[in-house]
Amino acid sequence: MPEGIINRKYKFNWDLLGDLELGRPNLGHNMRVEVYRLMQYSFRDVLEERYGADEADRVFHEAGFLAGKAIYDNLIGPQGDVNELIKKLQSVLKDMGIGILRVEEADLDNGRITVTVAEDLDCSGLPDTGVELCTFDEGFLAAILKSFSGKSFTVKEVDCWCTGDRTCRFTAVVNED
Amino acid sequence: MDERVASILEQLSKGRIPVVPPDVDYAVQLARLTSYLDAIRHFTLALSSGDLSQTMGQAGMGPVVGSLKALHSSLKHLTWQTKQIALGDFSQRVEFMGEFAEAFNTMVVTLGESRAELEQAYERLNEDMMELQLMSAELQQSEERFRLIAESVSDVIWTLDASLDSFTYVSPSIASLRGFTVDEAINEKFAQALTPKSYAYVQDILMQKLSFYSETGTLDSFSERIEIEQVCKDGRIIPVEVVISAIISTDGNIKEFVGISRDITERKREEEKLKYESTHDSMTGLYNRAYFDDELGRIANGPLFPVSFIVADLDGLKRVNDSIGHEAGDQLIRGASDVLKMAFRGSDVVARTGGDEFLIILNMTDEELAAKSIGRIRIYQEQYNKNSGNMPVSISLGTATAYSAGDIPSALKEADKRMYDDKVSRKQQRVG
Ligand SMILES: [Zn+2]
Repeated sequence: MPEGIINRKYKFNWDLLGDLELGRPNLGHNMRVEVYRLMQYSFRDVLEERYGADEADRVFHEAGFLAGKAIYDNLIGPQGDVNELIKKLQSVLKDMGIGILRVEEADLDNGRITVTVAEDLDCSGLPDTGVELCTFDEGFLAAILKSFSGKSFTVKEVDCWCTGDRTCRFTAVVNED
Repeated sequence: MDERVASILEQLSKGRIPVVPPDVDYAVQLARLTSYLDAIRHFTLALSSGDLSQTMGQAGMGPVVGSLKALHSSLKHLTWQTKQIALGDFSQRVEFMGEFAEAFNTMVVTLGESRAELEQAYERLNEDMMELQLMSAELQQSEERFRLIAESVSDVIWTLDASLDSFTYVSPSIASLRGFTVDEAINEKFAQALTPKSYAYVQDILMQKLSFYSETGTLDSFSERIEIEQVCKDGRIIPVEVVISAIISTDGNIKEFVGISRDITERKREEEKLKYESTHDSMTGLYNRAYFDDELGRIANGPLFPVSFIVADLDGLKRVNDSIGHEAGDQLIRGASDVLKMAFRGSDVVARTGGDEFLIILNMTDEELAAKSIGRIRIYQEQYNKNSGNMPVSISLGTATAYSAGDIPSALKEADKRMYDDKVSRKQQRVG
C-alpha cells in the first residue's frame, strides 16, 4: 500500500466544511478576506520553501480542481447549456464573495472560453510582482468546465492583478485527446 | 545631463510622444517608455473606436495598462451579454457599472417585457385564429347540413334580400312547385314571383311585421302562415302557403328574409269539397237546409229587399216510395230538382230543405216577378214531363214576399200555406 494513503487524515469532502450553523452560532459564515489570504500565502510560503515555486503552483492548481469539482457537485449541478452554467457560476461566485465573473467569449463548440474575474479573492489588491498568481483559480475553472462538459480543459491565467491588471483573465481551451 | 533628455521629458509631461535620438542619454530606457506609451495610445484608440480585437500583448503590463484592460474586458463582456440578449436571454444584467448598469438593465427588462407581451399577443392571436377556424368549420358543416335539408324537402326554401327585391337562394323543389329551374327562380324578381294581389298582400304583411320588430325587438310575429297565389311557368296560378322569417344581423338590422313555400292546391280542393258538401244536398246538388238557414240570416241583414220565397213540394213521393221503391222515389226527387234548376238563375238560392220540400229565395223580387217564376216552373215541369215516361213530376207551389227582415217569418209561413192550398186544389182537379 502506498505511503501517502496510509498517512491520510483528511481526505477532502464537502462535509469537512463543517456545520457552520452549529459551529459558529455567533460569528456565522463570514470572516475577513485577510484571513483567507493569510492562510493561503503562509501555506504557499512553506510549500515554495520546501518544494519550489513550480511545485507549489501545481499543488494549488490541483487543490483548485478539487474545490471546483466540489462546488460544481454541491452548489451548481447539471445545467442546460453553457450560458446557464455561466449564469449559475456568476451567481455562486458573487454570492460567496469569490469574485465578479464576466464572459468575453463562450464558444464551447470550438472549445474556447475566455472569462475575467474582477475583485478576485486570491489576488485583487496584491502587490505587482509581475507573475500570474491564480493557479488555484485555474484548477477551479478547469474542474467546473470538466464537470459540466465531461471534457478536460487547459485553463491559463493570462492577466492577473499581480501583473498589474485590474482583473484576472483566464482562457480555457479544450484538450484534444 | 544631456539637454535633449530634459526636452524629451518636457514633451512627455505634456502628453506628447517624442522621437528619441539613439545617442541621447538613457536612449534605451526612453525609447522603451515612448514605445510603451505608443502601444497604450494604439490600444486606447482601438478601444475608443470599438475594436475589441486589439490586445496589449507582451508589452501590456502594469497598473496603467491594467485599468485599460479592465475596461476592455468590461466591453467584451457587455458585447457577449448583448449577444445573449439578442438570442432571447433577458435575464442578463450588467453589474457594478454604475449609472450605465442601471440604464442598461432597465432597457433589458423593458425589452423582456415587450417580448413577453408580444408573445402573449401572438398566442392570443393564435388562439383566436384557431377558434375562428373551428367556427368556420362548424359554420361550413352547419351550412352543409342546412343545404342538405333545404334540398331534400318538398317544400321550397328560399332567402330574399332585405329590400324584398331579389332572391339569394331558392331550393331545387321550386321545379315541382312552379316549374322553374333554380337559376330561373333566382333571377326572377320577388314581385314577379307572385300575383300582383299577393305581392301587395305580402309587402303589407312584412311591413307590419318589420315595424312590430322595430318597436319590440322580437321576431315572434314572423312565424305566422299566410296564403298567397303564385304564377307557374306554364301560366297556372296556384295557392301557396308561406311562412316567412327574418334573419337579423349582429347590428340588429334585418339581413335577409327566409321563406318556406308549400303548394296547397290539394288542400284547397279538399277544403272546397268539404265546404260544398256542408252546404249542398248530395242527391240533387241543390243547396241544403243549413245553407238555406245561413242565407236567411244573410238576407235579413242585406239590402236586397223585396225578397220573395217560393215553397215547392213534390207530390206523391210517399206513394212512389211505397209502391215502386226508393230508387223510383229518388228519381222523382232528382226530376223535381232538375225542373227547379232549369227555372232559376245561378244567383237564386234553390235549396232542398226536406225529403220532398224545396225552398227558393229570390232577392230583389216582388210578388209580380215571383208569380212569373211560378209560371216558369210550371212550363219547365211540363217540358220535363213530356220526356219523363211513366214517372211525371208534379210540384205544389206557393209564394210570398217580404219587404223587410221582420216580414221574413210570416212570408215563409204564407208561402207554405199557399203551397198547401195549391196542393189541395190540384188534387181536387185530378179527382174532378
Ligand atoms: Zn489573478
